[in-house]
Amino acid sequence: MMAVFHRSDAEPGAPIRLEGVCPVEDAETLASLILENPNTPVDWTSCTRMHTAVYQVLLRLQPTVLGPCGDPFVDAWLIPLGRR
Amino acid sequence: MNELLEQFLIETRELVQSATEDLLALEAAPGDAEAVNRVFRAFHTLKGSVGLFDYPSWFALLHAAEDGLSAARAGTLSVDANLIDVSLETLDATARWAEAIETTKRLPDATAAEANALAARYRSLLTSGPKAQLANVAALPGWAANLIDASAECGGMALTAVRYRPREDCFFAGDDPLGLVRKVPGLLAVFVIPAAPWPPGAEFDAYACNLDITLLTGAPREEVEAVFRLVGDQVTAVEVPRDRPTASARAAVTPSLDAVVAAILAEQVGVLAAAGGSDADAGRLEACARAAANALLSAGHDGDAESCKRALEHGSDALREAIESILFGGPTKPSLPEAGEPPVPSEPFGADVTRTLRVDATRVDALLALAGELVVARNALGHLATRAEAGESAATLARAIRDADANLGRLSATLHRNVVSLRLTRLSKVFRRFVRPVREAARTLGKDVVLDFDGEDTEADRSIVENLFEPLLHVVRNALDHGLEDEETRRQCGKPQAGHIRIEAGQDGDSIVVTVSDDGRGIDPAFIRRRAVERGLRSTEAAAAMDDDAVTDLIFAPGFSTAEAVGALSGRGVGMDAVRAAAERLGGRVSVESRIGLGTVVRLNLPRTVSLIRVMVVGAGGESYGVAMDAIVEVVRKPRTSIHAVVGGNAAVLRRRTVPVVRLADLLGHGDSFTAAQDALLLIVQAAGETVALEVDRFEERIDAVVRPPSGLVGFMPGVAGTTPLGDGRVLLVLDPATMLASAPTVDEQPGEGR
Repeated sequence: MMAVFHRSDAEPGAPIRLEGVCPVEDAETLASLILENPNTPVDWTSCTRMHTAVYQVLLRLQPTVLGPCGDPFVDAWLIPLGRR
Repeated sequence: MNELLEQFLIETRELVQSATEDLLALEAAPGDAEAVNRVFRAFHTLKGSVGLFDYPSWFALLHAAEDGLSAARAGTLSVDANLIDVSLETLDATARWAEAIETTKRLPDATAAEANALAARYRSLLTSGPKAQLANVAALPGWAANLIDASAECGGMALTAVRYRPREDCFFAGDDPLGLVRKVPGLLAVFVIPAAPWPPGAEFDAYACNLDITLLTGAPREEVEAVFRLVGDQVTAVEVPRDRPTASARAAVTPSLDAVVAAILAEQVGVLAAAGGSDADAGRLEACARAAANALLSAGHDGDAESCKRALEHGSDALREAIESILFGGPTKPSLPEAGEPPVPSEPFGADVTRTLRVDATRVDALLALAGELVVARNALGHLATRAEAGESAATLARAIRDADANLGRLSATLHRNVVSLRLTRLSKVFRRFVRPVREAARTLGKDVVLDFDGEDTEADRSIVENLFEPLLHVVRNALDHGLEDEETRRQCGKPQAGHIRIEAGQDGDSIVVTVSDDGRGIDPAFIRRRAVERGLRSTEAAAAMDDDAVTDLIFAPGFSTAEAVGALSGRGVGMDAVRAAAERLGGRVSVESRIGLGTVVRLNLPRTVSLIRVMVVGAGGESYGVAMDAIVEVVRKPRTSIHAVVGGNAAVLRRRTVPVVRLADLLGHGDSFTAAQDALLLIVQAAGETVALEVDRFEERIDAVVRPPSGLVGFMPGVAGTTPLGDGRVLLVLDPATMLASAPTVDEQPGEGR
């Protein structure tokens, strides 16, 4: 189950979307999408639960994140670092 | 024995060994946090493996030990002699129980009682009163202090601080570290930072976890630990005491003061406040000032320490103000977790536990290649048989057969050498076992000893390595007990207070050399001479005639013990002769070199492998015996007329020296099997420093043989070096002429060299 979306026909600058439960496998997909185009923002408002590995990718690559995180745990405890 | 249990026993031994080493290292350097970690992990793993079986009391003990070490790791329990002692005893017990299970399949009856007693000692360490509580405050690790500082609003509550450093490969194990954090009750703060600087972009590995998670919760420690129980080895939980310095106070602490100094200062403020400002208790006042000043001095704040001492003269309130101003005086700087400890590279998990690596793969490859060649060589024999059937001449066939034999011989010798190399074991295995007994012996004797090793990588056959420990331990104990002087004497001699014992190994051709050297008093030849005469080992004249080296060598003589008093350690009636016997049993020899006042070196030369040896087969009476070619200096055929009867036996002149001639048949008790052959066949051998001619009845053949060490009934026969099977199925006794001559009563009466 992959929950990282980025439409290939999307306009430049269209955000990468994290949706629903983002399992460990999403970490690699997310990382390569961000590395391909480092300026692409990440929209995490619809993510309901994020695996540590996915969070680690965001922590490391520091993309621009859009909106409050849909995962209440991340939103409550980890936002300050995620948005830094 | 089932495989799981077998693996468990192997692993247990390794863990006990490595944890013992780490504990001893800790004893020498109590501040080594990494060593505490390793010990904790070893106990954690031990507990886990014991838990796989049904040994409840053992499991409970390891659990208690783990609790104790966990507290030590968190800094709430000091790593002192008590903790190290009880941990070493626990490891001892663990090793014993593992052994009992291996041999008897069950734990000894007294296990439960012993386990309970040890577990109780761990518990009492953990609950040792208010003093430990005070230490808690001062010893709060830096990361926990930072965590508290960063979460200002929770002052006054009892908290638990947790640091969780997931293993790098934890994602592959199915862990979701933040998933666990989600389950922590009463969460107050969470910080996630990279555990180590991120590797450069090109090496991006999304599945390598590199996180350092710290969190603070209002839940009690046990509840928090329950959440992390499956990753206990990666988690440190600390209780934050209720009466800790308030968050605001801490946040204002001069940044250059470290957390421990700050905690000590805060403690003094607390004590002074409790005293209510009265100057009545001058002792307490002075103690506070001294504690604060010492803490500041230790951190290099000499000026501040000075002002504390000055303030003491102005009474309690002045002192309190002075300390407070130092505590909160500097420029404030909120400390966030990332400003805390420098990131430590994630620990190399698993790297310190040596899994049993049996055989080097390249050695197996070499064997495979040899086996292939052997098949080819065997095909040549089939070809030869065809040629024989075709009626080829015996002469050419014989030559071809010899060639094939030589080829097979070469291959089988190489194959043997390679197989032998599979059994090579490092000496480090033996060396590491010395640390513990030496420590204990040094303690018993009240001596200070530095033990070091060199050449642990030297390899030798397993049977050699496994049998090396006992004799070597004896030598080391002798060095400790008799070699090293007591501290007072050493000081007078201008030597360092701690004695030095060094165990060294190295390869020397086909043998290994293991030396034990000490920097003690050395062996006094005059003393040995006197003692040898007293013990009746040598006559006064004989002793006087011997040179110093030969005299020193007498320490290996049976019945010689140099201890004036029976020492606690080595003077148990077993002298160095046991060492010589053991070395010879292993096919080696032992020698000693000593200089008075400077020290002693005992050197063991041992074979590296159990190798193929050339054996000469000789006849004595109606029997055949083997003698190792190494033991034969030369083989001589002499006319019987040149052998003369002298007092007590026969002698012959050989290269202008007179040598005693002993008939092998007589030595072996074949009695009067007199041969009337014209020529006498003599094997010239060295025995106890003398050249002796051993007369045999026949020379039969020379063979390559794997000589098996004597065992069973043959093992008790003096002079038998081993046995080897012959091509025709008989078993050949291989003799060791030197020990045979030494133990033969008649030889002493034989005329000696030059007489």
